[in-house]
Amino acid sequence: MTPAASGTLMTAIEALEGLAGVTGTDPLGPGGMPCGVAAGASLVSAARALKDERGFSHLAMLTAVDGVEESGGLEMVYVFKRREDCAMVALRVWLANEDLRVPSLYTLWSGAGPLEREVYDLFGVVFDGHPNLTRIVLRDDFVGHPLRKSFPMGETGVSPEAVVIAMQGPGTASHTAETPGAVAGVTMPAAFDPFGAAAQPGDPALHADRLILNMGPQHPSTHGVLHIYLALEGETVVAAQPTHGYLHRCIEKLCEKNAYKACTPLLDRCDYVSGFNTELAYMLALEELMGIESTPKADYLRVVFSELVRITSHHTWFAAVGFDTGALTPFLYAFIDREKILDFFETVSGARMMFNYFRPGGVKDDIQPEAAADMIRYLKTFDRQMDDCVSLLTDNEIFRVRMRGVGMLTRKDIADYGVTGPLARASGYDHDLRRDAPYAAYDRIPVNVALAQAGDTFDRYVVRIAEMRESARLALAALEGLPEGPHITAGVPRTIRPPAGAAYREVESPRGELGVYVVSDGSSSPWRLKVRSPAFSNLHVAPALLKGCRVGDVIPALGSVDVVMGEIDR
Amino acid sequence: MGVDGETKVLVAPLQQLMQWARGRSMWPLTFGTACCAIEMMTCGSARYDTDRFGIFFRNSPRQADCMIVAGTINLKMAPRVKLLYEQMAAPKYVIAMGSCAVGGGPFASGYNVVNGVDLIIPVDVYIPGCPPRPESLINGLLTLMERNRCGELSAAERYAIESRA
Repeated sequence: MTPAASGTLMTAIEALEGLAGVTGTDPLGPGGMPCGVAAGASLVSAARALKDERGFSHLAMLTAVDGVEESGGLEMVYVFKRREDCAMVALRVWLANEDLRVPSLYTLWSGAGPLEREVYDLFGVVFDGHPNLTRIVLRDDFVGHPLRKSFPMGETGVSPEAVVIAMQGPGTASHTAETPGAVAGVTMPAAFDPFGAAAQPGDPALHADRLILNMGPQHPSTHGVLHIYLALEGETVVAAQPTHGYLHRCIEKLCEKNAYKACTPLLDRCDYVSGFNTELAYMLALEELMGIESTPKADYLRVVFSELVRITSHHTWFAAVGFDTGALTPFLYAFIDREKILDFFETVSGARMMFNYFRPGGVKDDIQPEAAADMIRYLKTFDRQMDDCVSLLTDNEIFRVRMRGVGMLTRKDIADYGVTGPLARASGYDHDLRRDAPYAAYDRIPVNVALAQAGDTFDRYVVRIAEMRESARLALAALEGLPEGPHITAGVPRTIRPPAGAAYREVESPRGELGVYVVSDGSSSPWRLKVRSPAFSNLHVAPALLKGCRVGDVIPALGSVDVVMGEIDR
Repeated sequence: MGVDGETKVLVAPLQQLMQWARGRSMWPLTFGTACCAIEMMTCGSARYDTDRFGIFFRNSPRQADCMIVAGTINLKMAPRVKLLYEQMAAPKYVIAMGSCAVGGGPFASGYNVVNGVDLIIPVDVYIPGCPPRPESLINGLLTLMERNRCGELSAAERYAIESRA
């Protein structure tokens, strides 16, 4: 641990001291950060004190872990972060099986609302004071809470008969669902009532221009299976509520059944346009649990591939942003470059998208000198190719008019909803984990953080373009400074059994701060694996982002969030 | 009218004409759910360029000939997939792209995943892979077009005949 990091730890420990209702530091908390145990009743006051008095203004993660202790019940885990020095503290709240209730933090952070809905959906924890506690990823008619350990999990998954029942239309369900995992026919999603009681049909108060528009889940411009309700007054959006879960693939539950190394492919599929970043967060957490370190060469290779995959992710976004504003050519240009980088991935890992390349202690295979030379040659021409791409959009009058002043986000929104990544940096939020809490080899390769102030869609475009150029520079610097030595730490066992404990590590993914929280019980598969999805928090800023937009601007504004549904739904 | 004033008429059975046309222009619906959708997008990009085969992505199911189910289908999405399929005009074809659409893939034992899109809609072509390479998808589309040229029935038509029998 560097002196700076240990200083951060000390101030974080001090921050937990003297919090009303919080007892001592807890050894079972996520490794590397002080953790207090709070009683449910004092959670809100402790969180408020952390937020208002001690500077922990960012709710980094909120999740539940089922029954780590013999006594049963489950624990809520909250991770708070101070932006200035990246200090993190955790709070844990024990809940007994008979009384799964905890106060909601919605009054402190609007962004806590959707996170709590997810915990309610998957664990059945009831959040007192939550304004809209409904299922968020699973269907409203799903029976049971699948991330509970008591939820039966067969080898065969959903039976064909259950699929037939799930396909039945509203009101035709011939099935009273009692068995966990069953769904009893199609129901309408969670209530969305932006106009209040005035919207009842036949009510004279109902304004003729009012309309609720369903966008998605199949829409060419929602960037995946995103479903969003838009409440319109004429052409203007007055309220918006995203609904997702159309790509919930049980990744976190499946990880609990898999061996540690077998979780990596699933995490690749989690954020499928930047697999290396999720892998890296997982490896960092695992290494912390196991108490091992990766080799210097592996650190550099991790930087190379994290940055290259950031470029391809932003290429995909760049293609989509063109589509959103009616331009097809940026897609063609961006994908030419993307293919070239995918070729490098294929050379090294054998796969174009699902790499499974990072390992605890290093990376799977060493990079061949020819491959490294090819990459260096390509990266040296990157800026020129990028100039070709951006010349299509940046100075295009139509594009600028479509993007300027659209989808404004203030710094208050950013903090309130827990927004991270380019979306936050475009609103002047100067925070990047690669610089502020360096991991892998970022402490040896300085990062210039792209920043913009206006907080509109155009500034997000500018920030991402600058990030692509910076990523190419970083990858080039890492390749040219690639140290000699082994690519993986010797002596990492084939079957990993980390000692019991928990670890939470974050990396800066193309969408923001991506965290992986791993809880080990000492066996060969994780007890709980949680992905802190940056796109999840970024998507749920939609009510603030879209309010006041015209219908036609919804697509560019949502596109600038850069959602990846696989990571949001998991 | 011909150049010399004579009328020239091509006489052919309508069936053959339809086969000829369908076998040379297959318009898939832009419908991506997951990782495979990125590879499907790549198919339309400069390197793979499906336009040269007459494969051109359409945004509306009403204009599409075939549906590429690119990604995992879960219980929440399944009714929507069927709805989209029903919105397409016959003759219509379905390509199950990737392990998830073929049989649930790596998520097959999950509590929320439909183990194969053929449980919901009839599938014509199965493409394995996780995700399949763009070349595989192009091969699948060309297979579908070849079948059309040969006048083979679609999976939907076959199921209809079988269920009548």
